Amino acid sequence: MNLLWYVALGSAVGGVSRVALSTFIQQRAGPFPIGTLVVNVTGSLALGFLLRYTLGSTSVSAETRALLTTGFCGGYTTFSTFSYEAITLIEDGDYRRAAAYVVASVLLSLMATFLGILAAAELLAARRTF
Amino acid sequence: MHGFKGERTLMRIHIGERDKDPRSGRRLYQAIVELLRSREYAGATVFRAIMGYGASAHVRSDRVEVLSLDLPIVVECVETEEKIAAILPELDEMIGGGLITLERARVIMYRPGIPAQGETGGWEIDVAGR
Repeated sequence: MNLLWYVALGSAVGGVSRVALSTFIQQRAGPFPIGTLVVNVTGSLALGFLLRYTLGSTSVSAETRALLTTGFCGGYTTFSTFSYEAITLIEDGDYRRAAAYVVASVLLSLMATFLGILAAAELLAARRTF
Repeated sequence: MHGFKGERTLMRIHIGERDKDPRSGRRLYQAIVELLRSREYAGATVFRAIMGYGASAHVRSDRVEVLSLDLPIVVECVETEEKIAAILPELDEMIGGGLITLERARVIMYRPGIPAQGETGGWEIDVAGR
């Protein structure tokens, strides 16, 4: 089956998960777009781990990789919403919040990716010495 | 302690990770290994590559997510020239896109527990096979 179907399925689940979680968090927060921040950071953690682990292990097929990484993580995280929210904060003159949002999103996502990769490497190494 | 030393043919088969065997629908690299084993060939090893491109000029890489979905696979088999030639027609039917290379290899074989046979002593490799 074409890989795109696996991506489609993963993206659908990812996108819906994002809206559900992001809405739940944002309803309980103020104007700061913390919902998007949370999904982007957790998605980066997940992708870092999933992609590095599945590429290092032959027990996961290419189709499953596509479903979990390009599919789910791709649909779960969002760059467009992040960009829109940042621009909106700037439009409203809320420059401090805009800067904090952009810096936090980029830094925390990169750190989360790195941690995910570390976890994958640890798990792969532990599997080998078992 | 090494045992047999001599000449054999090294067959390398370059295919893709997602390629399927047209007859059984299973993974092509798995079908090839099972075919070789069922015919009692000396051995086969499958490597998953981390980067590469081939006739289609479609780059695959484990560094970029969308390029990591169909990584290159290399299947290696070391056997006598006659046995390799005997299996080529069957492989011909199984492989849709890819490459088979045949090299002459001088083999030094190690087997634990089996006393060395035909060993000439020293490191001179004799051409005559078993």
